[in-house]
Amino acid sequence: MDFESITEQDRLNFSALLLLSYFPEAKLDSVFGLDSENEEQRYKVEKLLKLYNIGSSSELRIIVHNYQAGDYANASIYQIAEELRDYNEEQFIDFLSEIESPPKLNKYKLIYPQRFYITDKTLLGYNYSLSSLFIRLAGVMGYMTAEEIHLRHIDLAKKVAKQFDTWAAFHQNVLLGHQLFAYSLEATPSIYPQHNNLWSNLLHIQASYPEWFKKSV
Amino acid sequence: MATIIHCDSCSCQQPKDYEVGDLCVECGGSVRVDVRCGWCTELTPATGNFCKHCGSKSIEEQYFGAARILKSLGFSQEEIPLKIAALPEAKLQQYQDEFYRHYRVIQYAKDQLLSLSSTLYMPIGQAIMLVEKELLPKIPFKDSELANYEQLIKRPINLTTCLEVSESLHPIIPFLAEVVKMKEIPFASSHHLDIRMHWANQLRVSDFPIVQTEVLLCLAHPNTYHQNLDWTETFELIEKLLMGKDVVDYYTNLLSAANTIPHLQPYVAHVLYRLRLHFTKENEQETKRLHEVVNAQGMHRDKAFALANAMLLGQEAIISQISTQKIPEAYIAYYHLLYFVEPAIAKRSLTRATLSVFQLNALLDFTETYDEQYVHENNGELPEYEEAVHLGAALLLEKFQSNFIYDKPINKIPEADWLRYARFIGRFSETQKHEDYQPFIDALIQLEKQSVLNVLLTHQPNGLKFNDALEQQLYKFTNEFDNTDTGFAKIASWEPMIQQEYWPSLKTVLKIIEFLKANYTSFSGGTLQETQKQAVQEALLKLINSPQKSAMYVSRFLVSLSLENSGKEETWLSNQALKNRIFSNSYNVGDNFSDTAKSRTFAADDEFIKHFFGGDWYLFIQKLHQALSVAQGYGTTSYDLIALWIDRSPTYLAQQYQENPAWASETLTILLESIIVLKQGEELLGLQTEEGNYPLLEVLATKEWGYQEAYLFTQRPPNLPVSITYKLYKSLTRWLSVDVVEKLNTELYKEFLTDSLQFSTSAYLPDCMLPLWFEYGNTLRYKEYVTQAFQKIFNVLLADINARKLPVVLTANGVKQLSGIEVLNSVFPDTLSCLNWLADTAEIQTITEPLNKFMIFVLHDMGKDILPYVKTAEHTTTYSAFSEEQFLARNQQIIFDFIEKMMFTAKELSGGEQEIYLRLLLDITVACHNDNHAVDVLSILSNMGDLYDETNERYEALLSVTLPEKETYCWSDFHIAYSCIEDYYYSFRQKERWVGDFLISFTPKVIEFFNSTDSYPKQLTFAINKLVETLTKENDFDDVPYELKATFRTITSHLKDILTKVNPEQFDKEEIAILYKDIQDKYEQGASFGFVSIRSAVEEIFLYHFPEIDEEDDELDEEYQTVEAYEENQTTAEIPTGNVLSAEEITGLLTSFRVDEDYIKLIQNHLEDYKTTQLDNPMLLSPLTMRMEEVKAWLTSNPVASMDFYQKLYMLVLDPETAPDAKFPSLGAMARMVFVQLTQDTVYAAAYASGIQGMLSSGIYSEIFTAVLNDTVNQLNN
Repeated sequence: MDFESITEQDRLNFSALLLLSYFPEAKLDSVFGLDSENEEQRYKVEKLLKLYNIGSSSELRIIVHNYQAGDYANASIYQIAEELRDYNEEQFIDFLSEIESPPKLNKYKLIYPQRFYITDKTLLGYNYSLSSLFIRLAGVMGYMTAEEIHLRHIDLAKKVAKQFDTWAAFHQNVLLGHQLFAYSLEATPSIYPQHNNLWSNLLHIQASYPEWFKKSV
Repeated sequence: MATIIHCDSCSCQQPKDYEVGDLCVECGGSVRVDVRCGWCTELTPATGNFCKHCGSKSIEEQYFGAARILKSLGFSQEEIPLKIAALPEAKLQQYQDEFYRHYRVIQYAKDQLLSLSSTLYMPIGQAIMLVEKELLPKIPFKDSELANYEQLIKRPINLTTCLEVSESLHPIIPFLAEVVKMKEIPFASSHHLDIRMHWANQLRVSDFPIVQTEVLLCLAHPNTYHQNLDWTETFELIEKLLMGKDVVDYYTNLLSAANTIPHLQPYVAHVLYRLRLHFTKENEQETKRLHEVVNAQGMHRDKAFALANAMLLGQEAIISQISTQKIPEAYIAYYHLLYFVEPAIAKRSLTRATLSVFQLNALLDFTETYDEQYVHENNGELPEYEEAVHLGAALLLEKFQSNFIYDKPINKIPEADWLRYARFIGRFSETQKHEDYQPFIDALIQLEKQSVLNVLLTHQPNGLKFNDALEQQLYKFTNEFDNTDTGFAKIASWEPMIQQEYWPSLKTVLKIIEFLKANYTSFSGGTLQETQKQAVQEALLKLINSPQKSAMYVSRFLVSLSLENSGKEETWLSNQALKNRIFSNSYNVGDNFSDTAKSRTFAADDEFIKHFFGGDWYLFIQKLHQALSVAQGYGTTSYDLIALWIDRSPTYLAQQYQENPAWASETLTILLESIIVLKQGEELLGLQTEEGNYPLLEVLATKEWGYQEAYLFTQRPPNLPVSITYKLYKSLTRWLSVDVVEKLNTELYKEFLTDSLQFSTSAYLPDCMLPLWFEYGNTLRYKEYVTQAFQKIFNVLLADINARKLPVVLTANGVKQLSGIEVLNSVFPDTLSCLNWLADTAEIQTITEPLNKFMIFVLHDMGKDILPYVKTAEHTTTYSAFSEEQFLARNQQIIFDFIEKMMFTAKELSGGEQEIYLRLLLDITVACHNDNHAVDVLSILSNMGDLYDETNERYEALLSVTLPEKETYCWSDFHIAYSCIEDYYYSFRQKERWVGDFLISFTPKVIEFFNSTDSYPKQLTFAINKLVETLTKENDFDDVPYELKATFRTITSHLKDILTKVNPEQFDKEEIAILYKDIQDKYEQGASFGFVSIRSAVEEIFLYHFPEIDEEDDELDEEYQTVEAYEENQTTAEIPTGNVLSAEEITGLLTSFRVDEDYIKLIQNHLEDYKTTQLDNPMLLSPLTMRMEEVKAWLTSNPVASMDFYQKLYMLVLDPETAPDAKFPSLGAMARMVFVQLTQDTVYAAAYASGIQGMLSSGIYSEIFTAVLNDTVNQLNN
């Protein structure tokens, strides 16, 4: 994947899936994704950022820094995956019986099939996508200017390029990460593929920007 | 009476016993007999046959009445004499009787006039004739009229009946009666009229000349001189009435009739003289004559006239003489003497007549009228006047030695006269001894004239001794006290005596007390007159101040009365009256106690208790309790009276309470009821001892509080001293702290306590209340009204936030500056609970809560003491999951969390407030930061700078001051700074300013740290990598924005400093090698300014670690080819393709250029640089032009290389952008020149020329470029 030659729009699309997932009304071709003048959208953004404990620009920068450094999502999942890696199915079932918390149980169940992938590839793609999302939302909140978002995305693109070879690999990582985090709270994790989910969002992206994926293939 | 006999000459009427042949009694002339005509009633001579007026035939006199009756019956003028002749005698007699029945009315009028005649000057006959003449034609009266008249004539004939104008038979009668009245002596005393107006009025209203004459003659009566009246106005009045006629002439005419009567002539002269005196007639002769006439009448037998003359002429001797005579005129005369203050004469006259009854009357009247005026006008200094009246009083007293006063037995003297005598004697007896009064007093006692005695004593005559006999008489009572009304009247009648300090005996006083006691409760004063009530009160008031022994009895009675009093206002002695009249005065102790002060006020002191409560204070307090429990009506209760006593000397009772706390407690219990239910007794709370203690409040403060006590607290007196106020608030706080939610809803709180809990400044807020706020100020745990109520109370603490320190509050020892540690110690039982509170607050609350604001002040005040305070938190089992260190770290973390939370929420505050609190928070942060929490501190500081631009400058300054203060720095201090460098870069230097500060001013510290043994090479590597990584980004820009340029320069200089100044040993050997290589790579790819400047520094370090390479590659080093030497797998020397050449490199190329393959290749590779750099720089080709021949030779010898080179150059020449009118004209010109020179005279020239020709023929180039290229083709072809 030739990341040096990708456009600004390509870089913004690091967070396209998540952005559409959280904000169906988002415009993928705008830098911020959402309208900073729109009170309603601003409120939604604020609400989402609060979920991630972001109250100020400084907090946001720290979070972005940490996500890009591979902490948080990636680190915790990677740890679990490494733990599960050596278990065969019987051992895994025994292991599950000791876990009481349903969200945790779901998470383990979701991670178990992916354990080899995660230990090999990590979830950094998901982390990068999230950090991209935060950077763009920071623009909506007025924490960052378009120039800063541009600079950060340039550097982010380099990191992505270092980790992934193709767009497909990147998006696979993002989807997996989103699944593990967003749907570990569902009663039955298996509901995920049938739902109005990132897969459909992915289709949406394909329809709008076909040339974007052509590059990755 | 049809026959009237007149004198022919003088018209004088003749007496009844006139007989024919008698001469006139007046003038001696012949007399004519007239009879009344039976028809017209006019007088006609008796001797004629026919009436001279109407011509009727004369009728015999005896049948006059019958004729009048017949006329009334309708007989004609002619018929009547015939009828009389025809009628039988009996019938005539019947008519005659009928006539006389009516004539009686006329007779009554005539009698009235006759009764007045004795006091009139003029003869009455004229008036009588007038009356008869006018009344006779009216006979016979109508029956109703006659009946009415018959009623009238039954009345006795006297002046009063004559005066009745409405009922009199003829108008002249009252007129004349008025004249008579004017002459009465004394005039003023009987009618109280101004004689002048009376006189003028009579003169005006009467139409009868006789009356007017009579009135005028009154001017000769002494009454008109009485009291020295000024007649000027009156005379002016009558002058006006005459409408411009001459007064004297007019009245002289009027008086001419009187003047014809000889004995009246002097009177007329007197009147005329008087008028002339006033109107100043010019005829002096006549005046002189009149004066002589008047002067000659000094000894006129009419004493009244004589007196009038004397008064007109001012003959005092005559007046004095008349005053001594026993005639009524003596009254006027003596009065006159007194009036003109001729005391010597008056005195003499008095002595001579030994006070005749007229003199006495004059004296009495005079003194009654003028005494006050005289004394007032002359300030009481009238020795002669006084002497005269004193003599009169003495003479009067002497009269009482006999049983007859002026021939009247003393028991027949009317009450009014007694009173006048007593008043006169009382007022004017001065020099008398007691014995002189004795006969008078004896007479009074004998006749039991108590009221007269009262009057006498009211004036306190000198010399009169008040003895027992007098007392007995004065205060004599029989059975009056059996009846309420009479009893009160009796006491009221004694009141003036008591006022004059004629003290009643003890027996009497006891009787009075007994009576009052019996009548107090049963009797309501409704029927009592107000004056009587007043009199009784005054009497009692006087009695308690008497020096007698009885005074104490009365006082005690009143005190006991007041204690039993139910407060009824309608009683004769209301509490109101007691309070206002009696107890507001003093009482006399008398001889009952051996006190030094005989007179004391009603004040509850020790003496008072001794006098009225047997010295038993407890008894008094019990009475107070009783009084307190009686509800207050509309009037004054007995409590009001007790309060009055207490109010006068509060310290005594307070002292008793102080010594006997049990009593105080008892009283307080009573007060709880009385203040709350009856609203009375609040003032007792303010009882203060001399030392300034409040015994009742002290007891209140120590009690267990309920709602009642809290209410009592609200009723406390104002301006209490600090100590007691504080105690009370402490108790209140204790009470409030339980069930506060419930209590806030009570009426008690809303109506009363809110006032007590509103403090105008924080200096009034007791510090003991602070825990309440911390407990109930929590908006999440308690409802809004609870928190708001407390917020209202404590808002005053945040009144002056500009001071930036804790407010002053009220403590047990007075007003004091609050300190943070005190607040925490008083509010929280231990540090742990404080931390828990802070943690809770930080989690859910914001800075908008006033309590949190206050907490910021508290923490700010503690400053550096916060950390020691936090350390004292005990590590309990609750947190046993932590180690001791973790526990402490967590505690400190709580503080930072709190600060951070407050800071984030500070944006909700208004501008001014925000700044203040942020600065406070900054101060706290700085004060309690330590090594372990540098991250938190920096995070907070960065957040602050991030959030609030206004504080940026301040915080930067603060940071630069704060951080260098540390003696040593640990890695964590720097780690976060290096971590944030990326942000610094991304935000175009807008955010994370402190990183910039760090990079600039902390460089020495950083170097010192890295040079120290505390640091590890890994840390240094991290720092350098971060810096380099950021610097790398400079390459990403085609044109670096200005802001970022500065950022890069800052980072570069920082990095350069580290690299040059840190000991090379500190660097990790492998890492530096990688870095060195990296930098070399970058340099070769066209490094940015940053790398160029650090390159040598890195190289030095690298050579320090790899000296052997340094030696080997000395030459290469010179030529900047070290990279190739280091890389072992490096193949042939290959000039790297890639980035464009920089301007410096191009310049360097110019000097170092050699004609060999390397350089030709280098130039060849960079021929297309202009597409990247967009620079029109022909310098790249300059080396070729300088050594053109050599190059050409070299190219000729190397055909393969020359082919490539020519091709590249050819493409450059053909590029439309190198046209003279395009972007790179210079480069294009240079390229074309070089291309022509190199290919000229070679085998390729023709080929290239035709190629260019082909391109030109395609028509894609502009005209100018076509022309230029045509030139090139021409040159090639040449």
